[in-house]
Amino acid sequence: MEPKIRNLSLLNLVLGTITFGWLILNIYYYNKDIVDVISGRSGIVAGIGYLLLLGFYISVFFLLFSLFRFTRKLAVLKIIAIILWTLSIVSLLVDKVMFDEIADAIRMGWEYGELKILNISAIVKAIFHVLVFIILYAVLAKRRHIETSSGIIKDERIFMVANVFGIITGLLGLYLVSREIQIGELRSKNIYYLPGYLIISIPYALAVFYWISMKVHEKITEWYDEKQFRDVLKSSLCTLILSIPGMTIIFLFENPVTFLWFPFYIFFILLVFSTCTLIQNKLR
Amino acid sequence: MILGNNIRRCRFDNNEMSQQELANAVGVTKQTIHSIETGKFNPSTLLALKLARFFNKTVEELFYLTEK
Repeated sequence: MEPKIRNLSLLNLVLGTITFGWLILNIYYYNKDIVDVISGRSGIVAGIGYLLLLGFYISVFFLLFSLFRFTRKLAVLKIIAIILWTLSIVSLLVDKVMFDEIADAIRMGWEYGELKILNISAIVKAIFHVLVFIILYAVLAKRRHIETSSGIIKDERIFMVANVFGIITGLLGLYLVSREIQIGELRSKNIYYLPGYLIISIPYALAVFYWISMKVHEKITEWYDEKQFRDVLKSSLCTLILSIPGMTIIFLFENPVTFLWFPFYIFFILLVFSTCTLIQNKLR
Repeated sequence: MILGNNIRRCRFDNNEMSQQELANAVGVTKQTIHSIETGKFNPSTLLALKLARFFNKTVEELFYLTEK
């Protein structure tokens, strides 16, 4: 096993244990006295905990990165961990928004129901922690099964994962755009929907980021396996051709045309390109 | 005419090696080896030479032209 993976695993074990304890404590404090968490001494513990949690997520990212790079084992766990990692990062932003909302409600003397969302967010983080502990157990306790490969690992899985994420992101994005087209009176506030587009794009962006970060030290000609290269070329041509009827649809259905044509275009070509590539790669 | 090949047979003659092992040895994906074996993908000259060298055969021994 790579010493780097072992050291990262130990770091994650320490940070994970501390932050898991903090999470459980936080759930207790949220439900006991949220006012004290926001404005009292418990707030300091919460703040330090969030910093440690951020450190934990960064170190988990590097661990997953190393595991993807150096071993083929634990494939399903790693993919689930990437998805939950994304959700946990999003849940940090959710926490920030909820704390702001609750603080405003307390200041104004209103009722606040955001506590439930904070609890759900904490549960998501706790599930992610449990998954990381399972991975750490596999890496540290059963390390003889996680022998790393010194040969060339062509990233077939990440190629597949990126395309599957591309299809899911494309479908979700098209659903969001079509929903916004239907509720035309909100068009002047379209900017508020931008975070939605960004959030659903995170898994795909992470997969592509990971893939690029692995390839950045290689020659561009070696970025793809030769069949993958052929598949991508064919899919690009297919996407180019299908984008013409695709854009015709949006210009027919959206009248007058707003900036929504742009996210529609992005998600449409993402969906078509990923689907074509997956079909080409698996069936042709 | 299409390109036929003996890669599958050569793999089994070579300690029944898996598609993944062969793919790692010549630096491609398993899917590429599978597609070549089933005739869905014609390899480049470079890959054909790499495969031939790996099995210690000539390219003609590994690949051949066939009517179907």
